[in-house]
Amino acid sequence: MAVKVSKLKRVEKVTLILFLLPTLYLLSFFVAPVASVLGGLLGFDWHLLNTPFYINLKPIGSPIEIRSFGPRLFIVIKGVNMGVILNSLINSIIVTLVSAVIGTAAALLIGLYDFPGRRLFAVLAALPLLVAPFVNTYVVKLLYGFNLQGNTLSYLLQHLGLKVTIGFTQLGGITLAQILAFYPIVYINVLAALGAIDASLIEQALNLGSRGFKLIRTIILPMIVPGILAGATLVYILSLEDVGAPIVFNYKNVISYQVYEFFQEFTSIGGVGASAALCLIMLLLALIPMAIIRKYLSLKYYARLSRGAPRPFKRLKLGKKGLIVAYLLVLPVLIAAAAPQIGIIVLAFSERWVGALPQGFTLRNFYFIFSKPGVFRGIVNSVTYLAFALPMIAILGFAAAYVVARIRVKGIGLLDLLSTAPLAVPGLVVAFGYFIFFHAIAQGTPLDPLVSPAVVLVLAYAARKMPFTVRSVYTGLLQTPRAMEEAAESLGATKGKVLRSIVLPLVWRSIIAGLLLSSIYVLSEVSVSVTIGALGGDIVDPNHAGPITYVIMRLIQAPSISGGAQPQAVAAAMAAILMALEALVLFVATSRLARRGQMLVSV
Amino acid sequence: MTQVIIRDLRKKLGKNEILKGINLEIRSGEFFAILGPSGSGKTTLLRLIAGFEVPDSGQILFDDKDVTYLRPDERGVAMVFQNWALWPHMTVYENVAYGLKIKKLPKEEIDKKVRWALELLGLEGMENRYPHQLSGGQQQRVALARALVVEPKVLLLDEPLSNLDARLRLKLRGEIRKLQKELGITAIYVTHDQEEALAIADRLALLRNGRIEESGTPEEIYQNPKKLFTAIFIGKTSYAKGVVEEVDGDKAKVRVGENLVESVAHGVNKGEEAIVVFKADMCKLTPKQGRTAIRGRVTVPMYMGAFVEVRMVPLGYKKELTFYIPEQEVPPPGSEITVYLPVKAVHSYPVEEGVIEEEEEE
Ligand SMILES: Nc1ncnc2c1ncn2[C@@H]1O[C@H](COP(=O)(O)OP(=O)(O)O)[C@@H](O)[C@H]1O
Ligand SMILES: [Mg+2]
Repeated sequence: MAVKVSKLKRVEKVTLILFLLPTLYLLSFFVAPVASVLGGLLGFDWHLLNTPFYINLKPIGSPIEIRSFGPRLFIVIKGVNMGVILNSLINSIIVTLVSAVIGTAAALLIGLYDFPGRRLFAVLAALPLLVAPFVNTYVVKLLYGFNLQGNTLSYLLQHLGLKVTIGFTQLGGITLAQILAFYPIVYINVLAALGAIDASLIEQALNLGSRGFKLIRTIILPMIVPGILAGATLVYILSLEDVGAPIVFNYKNVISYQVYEFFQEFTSIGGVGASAALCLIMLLLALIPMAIIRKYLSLKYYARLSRGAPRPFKRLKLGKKGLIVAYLLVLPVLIAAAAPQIGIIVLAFSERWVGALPQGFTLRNFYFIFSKPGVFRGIVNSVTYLAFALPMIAILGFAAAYVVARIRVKGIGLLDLLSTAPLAVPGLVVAFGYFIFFHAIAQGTPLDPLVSPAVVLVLAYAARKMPFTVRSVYTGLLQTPRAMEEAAESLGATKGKVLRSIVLPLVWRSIIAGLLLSSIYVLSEVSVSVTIGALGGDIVDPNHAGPITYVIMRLIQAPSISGGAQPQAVAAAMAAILMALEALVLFVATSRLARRGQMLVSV
Repeated sequence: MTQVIIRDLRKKLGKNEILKGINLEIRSGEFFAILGPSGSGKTTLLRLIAGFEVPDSGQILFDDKDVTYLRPDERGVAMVFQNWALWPHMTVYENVAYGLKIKKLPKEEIDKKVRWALELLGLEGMENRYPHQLSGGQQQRVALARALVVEPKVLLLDEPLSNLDARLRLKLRGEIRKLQKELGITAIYVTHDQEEALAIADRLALLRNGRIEESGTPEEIYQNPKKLFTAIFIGKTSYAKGVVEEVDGDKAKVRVGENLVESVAHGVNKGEEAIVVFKADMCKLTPKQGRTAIRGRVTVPMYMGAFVEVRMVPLGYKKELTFYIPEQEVPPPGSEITVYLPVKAVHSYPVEEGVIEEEEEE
C-alpha cells in the first residue's frame, strides 16, 4: 500500500493537468453531446423508418435515362432512389470505391513514375484538396449537371461534333460531385504510403527482374494497402456526412439532408425522434469501417507515414504503354476533377454564369463581399470564432499529443482514441448532438444554441478540428528523442520547466503547422456551421451569427442579390479567397513536415 | 560521495520481466561498470537508478536514503545518454549551464562553473556553437560537461562511447576515468564492451538476462571468472565440451577428444560433462612446466601481424577452436600442432543451459 502511494506521488501535477484537460474537454464537449443523440431517441418508434421514404427496395425508373429528341441524344444520370437510408449508403459506397480506384491509380502514376508532364498531373490531382464548400458542387452542376440551358461538357461535346447532352442530377449528381472532390484524399494517402517505402525494397525487386504491373501488384500494392484503406475510409465518412452536394443538387432523399432539415424548422418528417434515429444510423454506418481499420488511422501510423522513408526511392521511367494510359485515361479524369476548382475562380470573376458558359469579366463579386453587411459579417464571425477556438486547440491539442506520446500508463489509449475520434464522427451528428445536449442542459443560458450559437460553434470547432493539431504535434514529438527531456529531468528540472525550456522550443514548428491546418478546417467547416450557425438569423440580418460557410450556402441558395450581382458568383469570390488561404496554409504547413518530398496527409 | 545500494530490483516492461532481482552495492566514489550483452537489461537498470522508471519491487538506496520512488529531479543524479541528448536549440554554453540555472545559482557562479567544466573537458572556445556544429567526440564531451557541472551525487553513463570510432573511444574512456577520480563522484557506467569495462572500472558486474551473474574487480573477473558465462564473455576465449576424468582440489582434468586438458575447476564433478574455457590469447607453441597441451589439426591459419590466428580441430573432437599464437610463422593448413596454455588460463565449468550457443550444443 505504501508503495502505491509513493508511486502516485511521482505523477507530477503538470502531467495530470495535461491529461485531464483534453480528456475532460472531449468527454464533456464531444462524447457527451454525441451520446445525447441517444436521448433524442426516447420514445421513438423505429417502425416509423419502415416506410419506402426511408428504405425502398423496389425503386422505379432507371438510374440512367437515354432519350433522343430528333438528332440529339440525351443522357441523364440521376441514380437510384431507394429511400433516404439506402440512398446514402449506396452513394457513399460508390463514391468510396470509385475514389479508391482513381486515387490509387493517380498516386501510383505520379508517385512511382517519372514522365513528361508529371508536375502538371500532380498539380491537377492536388487541386480539389482546396475545399470550397457548396460552390464546388455548384460549379460541378454548371459543368456536368442536367440543365435545360445545357452544361459546359455537352457544349464542348457539341463543338467536337457529338450531338449528345450529358447531365448528372439527383443522387447521380451528388455521387459525381463527391467523387471529383474526394478522390484526392485517397490519392494523397496513397502518395504518403508510397513515400514511406524504402528505396532498398523497390531496388531489390527491380534487381530480381520485377517490373511494370508485376512490380506494382506484387511489391507496391501490398505496402500501400494501409494508405488506400485509410484514404477510402475517410472518403466514405466525408461522403456520408456531406450535406453540401445534396443541398446544391436540392436532393433531399439522403440522411444528411434530412438531419440538416431538422434545423430548418426543428421538425423534420418524423420529428426529433426520426432525426435522432437517422443520426444514430449515420454514426453507426461511419464507425463500423472506422473501427475495422482503426490501426491505420491511429496517431502512430500517421506519424510513421509523415516521417517518410529513410531513403526514398528514385522514380521509375514510364514506358510507352504507360504514357498512353497516363495521357488518354488518367489525365482526362484529373482535368474533369480539377475543372470545378478552376471554374470557381472563373465564376468569381464572372458577371454571370448560369448556362454552359460564363459571361463577362468583373471584380464586382469581391466588392460585394465587403460591402454587403450580411456577407461580410460571415467573415467577421468566422475570424472571431477562430480566434477563440485556436488557443483552445493549441492547449488541448498539445496536451493530448504530449500525453499520448510520452506517458506510458494504462488508459492513455483512451485519450489517443478520443483525440482522433472527431475525425470519424459525422459533423451533422455532432451538430445534432450539440443542439440536443446544450438545449437540454443549458436552456436559456448562453450555452443554449438558440440563445447564442457563437459559444457552441467555438466549442464544436475546437473539438472537431483539434485532431489535426494533435497529429502534427504528436509526429513532432516522436521525432524528438525522449532522452532530451530525461537529460533535463535528471539535472533537476521539473516537468513544467522541461515543457517550457526543452519541449516547446523543439516542437513549436509542429504546433504551428498543426494550428494552421486546424485553422483552415475551422474556416471551411460545414456541418455545424450551417446548422447551429443558422440559428442566429439569416444573412439579410447584418448581425447574424453564421460563419463563412453558412454565408456561402445562403448565397448559393439565393435567387438574386440586391445590386445585381449573381449571388453564386459572390459565393465563388468568397470561396476563391478561402481556397487561396488554404493553398497558402497547406504550402507552409507541409513544406516543413514534408522534408523528404513527402506530402502531409492533411485530411 | 554517495554509496548506491540496490536490493532485489525487479521490473517488467510489457509482458517480459526485464530485471529479475538485481542486488548491487556500489561504494562511495567508486567507478562501477555494468557489463552485459545487448538486451540484457543494462539501460533499464540505469533508468531505474535515474528515476525515469519505477521498479515493480525492490529498493534503491543512495547512502541510507530510499530513492526508489523519487522523481528524477529529486535524486541528484546526472545521466549521460548513449546518443548524448544534447539540446539542439541551445548552444554548448546553454546546454552546460542548464542544470545550474535550474538550481537558481547566481549568474557569476554559473558562469564560473560552466567555464570550469568546459575547460575540464577541453571545450574552451566552443561556448557559442550549437551541437550540430560539433564533432562526435566534442558532443560527447559536452554531454559529459553538462552532467558533471551540477556535481551530481551519482553519475550514470549509458554506453556513452558506443557512437564514436575506436581511436576516440580509447582516448575518451581514459579521460572519463581520470575526471571521475579527480572529482570523486560515484559513477555507474554501462557498456557491452568487456575490454572497456575492464579498463575503466574499479569494480564491475556482469548482467545476463536481467540477473547479475558475477561481480568483482577487473582482475578477479578476468583471472578467475566464477561463472561459465563470465569466462566466455570476458577476454578472447575459446571453449570446448568434455568429460571430467579427474578432480584434484581446485584442479580438474577434462578429456576433450584425445586431449586430456588440465584446468582450474569451478564446481565440476568426476565423470560429468564440463565446458573448458581457454584464454585463447595466452597460448604458446612451446611446452613448459605448468602448461597444459592441446593437440589438433590446423584448418584456417591467418597472419594478423603481432600474432597468428589459428583455427584448429583438437584431435578426436568435432568442433573448431581458435587460438592466438604470438609467432610469426604460419602453420600450414592440415598440419598438426600442439598449443600450450598455463593451467590458470584454462577453466572448467559444469554445463549450463543457455550460455553456450545452440549450434554447439547438439
Ligand atoms: N518499453 C519496453 N517495453 C518492452 N520491452 C522493452 C522495453 N524497453 C526495452 N525492452 C526490452 O527489455 C530488454 C532489455 O532492454 P535494455 O535495458 O534496453 O537492454 P540493454 O541496454 O542491455 O541493451 C530488451 O529485450 C528489450 O527488448
Ligand atoms: Mg542499452
